[in-house]
Amino acid sequence: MISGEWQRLSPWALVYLFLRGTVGIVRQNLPVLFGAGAGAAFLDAIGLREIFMLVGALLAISLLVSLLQHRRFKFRIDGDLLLVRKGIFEQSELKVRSAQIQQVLVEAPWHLRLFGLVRFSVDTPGGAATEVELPGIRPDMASDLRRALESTDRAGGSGHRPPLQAALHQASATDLILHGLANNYAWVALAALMPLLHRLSQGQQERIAALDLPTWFDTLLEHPLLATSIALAAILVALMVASVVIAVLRFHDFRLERDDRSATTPRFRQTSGWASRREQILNGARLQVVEHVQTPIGRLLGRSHLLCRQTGNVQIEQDPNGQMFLIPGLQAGSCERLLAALWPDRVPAEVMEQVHPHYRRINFLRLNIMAAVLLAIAAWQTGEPRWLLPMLGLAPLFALLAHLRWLAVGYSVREGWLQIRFGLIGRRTSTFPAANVQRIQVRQNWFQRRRHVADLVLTLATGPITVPCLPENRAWTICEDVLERIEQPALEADVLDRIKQPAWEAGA
Amino acid sequence: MSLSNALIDPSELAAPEPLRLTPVAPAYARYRMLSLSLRWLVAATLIWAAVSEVARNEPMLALWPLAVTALAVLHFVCAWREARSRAWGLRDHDLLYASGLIQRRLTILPCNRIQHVETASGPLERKFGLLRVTCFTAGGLSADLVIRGLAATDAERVRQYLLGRIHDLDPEALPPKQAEHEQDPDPATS
Repeated sequence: MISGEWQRLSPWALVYLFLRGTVGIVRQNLPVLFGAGAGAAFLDAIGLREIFMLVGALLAISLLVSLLQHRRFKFRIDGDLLLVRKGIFEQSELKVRSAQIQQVLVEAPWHLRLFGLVRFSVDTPGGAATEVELPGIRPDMASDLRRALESTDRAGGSGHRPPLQAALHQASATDLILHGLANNYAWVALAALMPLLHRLSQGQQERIAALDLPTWFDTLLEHPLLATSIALAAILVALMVASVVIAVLRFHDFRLERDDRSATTPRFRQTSGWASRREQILNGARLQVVEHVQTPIGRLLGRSHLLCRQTGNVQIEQDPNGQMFLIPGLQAGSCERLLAALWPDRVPAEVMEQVHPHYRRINFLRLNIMAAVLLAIAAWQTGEPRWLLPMLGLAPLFALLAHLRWLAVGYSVREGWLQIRFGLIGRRTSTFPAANVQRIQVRQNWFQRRRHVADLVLTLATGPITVPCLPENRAWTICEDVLERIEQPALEADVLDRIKQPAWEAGA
Repeated sequence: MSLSNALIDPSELAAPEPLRLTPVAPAYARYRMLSLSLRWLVAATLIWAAVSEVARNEPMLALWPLAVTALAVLHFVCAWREARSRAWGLRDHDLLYASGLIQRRLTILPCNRIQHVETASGPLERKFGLLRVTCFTAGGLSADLVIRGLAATDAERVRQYLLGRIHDLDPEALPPKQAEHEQDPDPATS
């Protein structure tokens, strides 16, 4: 039983801690070793026996640290608290209230599965990184822990447990393939590898020329345009395949279901993953914003995904650690259905309002100024004024772009629910209750003051969302409406205080 | 009974009540000037070190002191006007702060979003009797509000008021007496 006495990590977790520690040391010191060549020069100087001794000493230190970590790591449930004690030189005790938990993640990566273990982590609002991580516990203990944390939030404690509802969403193989194609997971990996690839490619031309290559390769080298096209096509295909593979590995057998076993707050559970099986539980009450993301390729393929952002999930485009609650492979109509499930009391937008046409003019001017500056620099550098001629052709194109961009921006404010849409080619629609807004800002530059328009910046616990170029009066109306929704609980508390106040005190 | 439904002249409608904000302390503008002077002194020294040698051969570059002075004067004028236009206000349920010269920004932070309040001041600010009030929210850096240029007494009063509001709004911060009072169905009997 998890409650009561202190629990320890599984003995196999020691192997995992040792491996993780060793990999950490190698990863931290690799740049020093290979970076400037100083490390390599040092290794050349000391000889093979010393190198083995150094490696042995490092492994021994890593093992000792892992042993101490494993020995000092304890956890238990005390009422509604999850307590974790850890630390080698400095012991720390972390207490997390179950009501504060916004997400629980149970992962079974392949290297932990070898030992029959899982990784249990908990996120709370305000923490940019994972707050609590139990690296290597048995799956049954993880389930007990999860249930114990849920039961403290459940009326009636360990009473009747209604079954999970039917799946809200299941991603098929086609959905995952299209999701992989629509999203740029491989581009991110490639961007991270670019410095390494660049370094490796240096000086390779001479080596290639020295090799005895087939004749068709020589023909390709003689036609650089054809060679470049084939190379680009090959890279593109490789990237698409890699994207699909990553998406399938990450979201294999994806299933999202609503868990109504908690009396106070709805929870949503998603299970997915092939090599690394993961179970992610989202506390519905901690949900701040839901973003419907349609990438340019996704719009062509008719697939999109939802990002459920909680406190601390700042608005970053990529999620390398998979911490965000992402629902992949959505078809048209699925988004509204899932939004209704995530927020049952949400009032959907009937029509999206357009921002002020002044936004179109600003975009048109910006595009023209940017192009004019670039062309003027080109004309100045070359000494040929004809560089300015393309401006005549670009102006109508910019007018069209500005108009389409204006059409793409939309917003809706309805009964305390806001929906804001952005994006000309790729599209992103954020939905959130006005009561989740943390701070409001009304911005007006000199140009906007003259035209009586204003930008409205609504800052949530996940970051700011800007509605540009609203008519001034409309901006203030929305601002007051949002403030009323935020301050409603405080106002209600004031009224309740007055009702509870004895008559003679109220009269005084 | 006849129904009266006369047209109303829109120009006769009451204008929305403008927000009456309190300007920040006058010493703030002087503080900005001094802090800007120090920055420009450092910048001018660095520019002099970088350009003076090259400027001997390039007649156009010899005009750099003029360009730097012009930029500095423009910066000083804008900063002075911006500092004078900063204002703040406290309403029943929120805190307001207006800043910016070319782009005016009015920031509204509801009191029930404030997690804690901090006052801070640097040596220069202390010299001018100024304090910064920082209101922290759950939204992190992007949602926090820093009010600069408050006189020390005003800043302390704002901090105390906001701390009081946070305490009042926190259900767990109810004093034991009030908690007992809530449990009592009939206050007259207590």
